[in-house]
Amino acid sequence: MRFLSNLLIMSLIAGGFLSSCNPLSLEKGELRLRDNTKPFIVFEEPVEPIAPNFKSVYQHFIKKSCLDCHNAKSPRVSFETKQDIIDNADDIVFYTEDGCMLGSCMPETDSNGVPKRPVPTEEIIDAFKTWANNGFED
Amino acid sequence: MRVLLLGFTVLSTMLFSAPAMTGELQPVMKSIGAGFKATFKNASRGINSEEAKLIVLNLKNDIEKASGLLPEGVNPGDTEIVARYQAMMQELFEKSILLEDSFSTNPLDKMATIGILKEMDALRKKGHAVFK
Repeated sequence: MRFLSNLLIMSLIAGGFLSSCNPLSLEKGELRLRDNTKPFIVFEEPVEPIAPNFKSVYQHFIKKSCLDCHNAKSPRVSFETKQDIIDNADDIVFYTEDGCMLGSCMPETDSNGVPKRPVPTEEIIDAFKTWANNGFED
Repeated sequence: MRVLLLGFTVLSTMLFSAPAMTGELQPVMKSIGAGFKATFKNASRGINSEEAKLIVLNLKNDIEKASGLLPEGVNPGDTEIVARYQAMMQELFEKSILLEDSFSTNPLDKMATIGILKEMDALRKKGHAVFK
């Protein structure tokens, strides 16, 4: 009996500790370390501004609109690495802009003609082209 | 001496009759891709100038050249896969002849030409899926 009551008390204490340390609780504010830096657990990817560089093009274009299908595991051409993207840059721009006229809309559309993934904006396509014209320099 | 000569003949036959290998195909395919895209741009604008026709001619020649090569990783001894590749390239070559005819017609029939390019693009997709 005494053992059970001890176990109950210990469970309550442990529960209290755990709930007070929940980093996901928004009520407790942003989680910070003693030196006021953020912990290594990053829940959100920082948003890159749209610009003619690899990071931006990857985040706003390739990752959003292409990678679900164009990855190393699929039978399609992979755009997973920077080199893959550089090697296929002409095709990426061509099929994004003109693919529908050839029956190869990129991103693909469903049976109702609705794109299955976000369609890249003109701004990010232009950034991609500029990055390519600059010799893919970041 | 006769055995040596026979052996040499067999070896040289094997070497020279086998389709050329892998690394050679990549630049040809790249050139086909560039020619295809340029041809599409011209067709969609209704342009069939001499320059546009030359691009189609080069595209056709590149396709013919690629028919004699093999994709990376394909074993020349694998007759089934080699035949499949060559049949696909032959089909692509036939489409390029139709494309050439289409560009020779005045005025250029935009929709018909884009139709041929569409069929060629479908073959490209099929090829990528099989020979990736």
